Amino acid sequence: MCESCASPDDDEALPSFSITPALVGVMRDIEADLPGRRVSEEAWQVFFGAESGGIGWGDLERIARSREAAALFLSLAGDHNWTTR
Amino acid sequence: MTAVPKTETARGLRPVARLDIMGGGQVVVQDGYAFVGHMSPPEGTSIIDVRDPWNPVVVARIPPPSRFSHTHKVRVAGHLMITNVERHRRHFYRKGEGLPAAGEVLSARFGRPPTEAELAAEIGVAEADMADLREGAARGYDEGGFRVWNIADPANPRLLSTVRTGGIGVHRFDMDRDFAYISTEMEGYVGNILVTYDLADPAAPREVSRWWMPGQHVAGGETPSWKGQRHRLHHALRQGDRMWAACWYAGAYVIDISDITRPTTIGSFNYHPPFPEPTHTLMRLPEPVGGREIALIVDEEHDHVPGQPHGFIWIMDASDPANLTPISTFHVSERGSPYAGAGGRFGAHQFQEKQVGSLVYATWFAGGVRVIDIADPEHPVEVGFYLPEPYPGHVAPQSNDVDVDERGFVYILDRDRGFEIVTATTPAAVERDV
Repeated sequence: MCESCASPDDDEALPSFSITPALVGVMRDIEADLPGRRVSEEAWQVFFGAESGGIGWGDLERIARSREAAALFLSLAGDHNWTTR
Repeated sequence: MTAVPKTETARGLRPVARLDIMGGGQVVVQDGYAFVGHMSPPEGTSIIDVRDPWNPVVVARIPPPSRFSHTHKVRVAGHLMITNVERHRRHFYRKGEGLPAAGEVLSARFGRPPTEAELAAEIGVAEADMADLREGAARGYDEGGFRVWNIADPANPRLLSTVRTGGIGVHRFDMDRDFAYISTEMEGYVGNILVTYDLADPAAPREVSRWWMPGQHVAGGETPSWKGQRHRLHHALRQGDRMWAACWYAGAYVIDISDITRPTTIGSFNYHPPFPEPTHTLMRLPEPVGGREIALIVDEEHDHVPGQPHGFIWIMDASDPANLTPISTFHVSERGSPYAGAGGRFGAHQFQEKQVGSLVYATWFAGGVRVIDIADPEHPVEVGFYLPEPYPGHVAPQSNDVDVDERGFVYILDRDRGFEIVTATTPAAVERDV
C-alpha cells in the first residue's frame, strides 16, 4: 500500500484469482452458455493479460460474470486452488 | 492488440530531453512553460522553461509552506497558477487519530494497557514509527488548502493568496480564469468534497458552493454507508455547465453547475465491485470522436490483486450525462513493458486532461506512456508508447502524469524521479490532431 496516496480504507479484501487452467476452463464454459454474443478470443487474451488492447463493454461484462460464477462453482466443488486469499 | 518485445521501450515516440528532478504528481504545460507539482517536501512546485524543448531549464522553484505539507498538484489559467497544500503522508498520520480508540479496545481486550508494539500492530504501523505518529497526532494539521499565484512572469511567480480549507487539505483540482474547482476535506464532512471558489479577485478567492455525495455531510446528520474515506471526490473537471467528477470507490458522477451556486447531481456510474481499482479521473471530451459523445475514465492502480485486471481506461458514451454507459475499455499487458514485475506499481494512473483529437496519452506506472487511438470508440488501439529509463537506484519507471502541448511535445512526469520530453518519431508515427 502506497501511504502517500491510498488510504487504508481502500484496502478492501477482493478475491485474488489465480488464473488456473480449471478456472479458465469453467469461466469459458459458463460464458459460452450465457445468452447473447460470445466473447471474442482477442478479448479473452487481453483480459488474461497476454496482450494489450481493447475489450468491449459487453465482453467485459460477460467475462466478469463468468469469473464470479466460475469461482463459486469451483468453491462448491471443493476446488480452492484459484484463490490465494 | 500489441505484444511488445521485452527489449522494446518505445514505439512511435522518441526522446527529446530529460531532466533529473524529484518525482511529481502533476505536470501542465502552457505557453512554453511546464508547471510541475512535486510529491514530497522540501520540493514543492517547479516551473520549467520548455520553449526550447531540447534544453528545458528550471526557472522557478516554490517550496511547500512547511515540511508537513506537500504541493503535488498544480494548474494554470492565463496569468493565474494554483497549487494545492495537503498534509504530507496524510494516510499515515490519519492513523494517529485512531490511537485513543485503539488503546481503549486493547485495554479492554487484555485487561491492561497495551504495549507500544501491540498498539502499533492494532493500527497497522511499524513500532518504530509510533513516535512519529504520536508527534503528528499532537501537532495536528492546519495548513491544508491552496495558494493562488500570479505567473505573468513564470520565472518569478508572485503569491496572491493562501486559502485554508479543512482536514488534510486539497488534493487534485480544476480551474479556469473565473473559478477554482477544489477537491478538499472540509470540517463536518467525511472525505474530499467539491468546493468552488470565485477567482474574480484572486487575492481573495470566495467560496460559492459545495457539492458532496449523500452520506459525506456527517455534521448535517448524514451517515456514510462506506468504510472511512472510500467514497470521496478525487477531483472534478469542468466541461461546459457540468463537472465530471471521479469519486474513488463511488465511481463517476456528473454534476450540473448551470447555477454555480447550486451544484446538482444529474447522474452517476459505479463499477466497484467487481472492478478493483478506484476511479481517478473522469473527463468529458469537448469534441465528438467517431461521431459519438465521449467521456474517458481512468482508474488508478494501487495494490494489484493477482488475477484481477490491472488499472485500465474506460471509454464512455456521454450522450446522456444522466446515464453514463461504457463502450469499451483499454488494457496494457505486463508483456507491454520490460519493467513489469521489477517493482513499484504497473497499472494505469492518468491521462492528459485535454482532448488531443482521438488520441489518449496515458500513464501506466511501470508501463510508461501509452498512446491510445479511440477513433473507433468500440475498438481502442495502441498506436505508440514510451518507457522512460529509470534513474540509478530505481528499478522501474513510475510514470505518473502526462501533458501534451500544441507543438506535439509530450511531457512525462515520474512519480519518483525525472521529467522527460518526447515527440513523435515521424509526423505520421503518432498521428495527432491538435
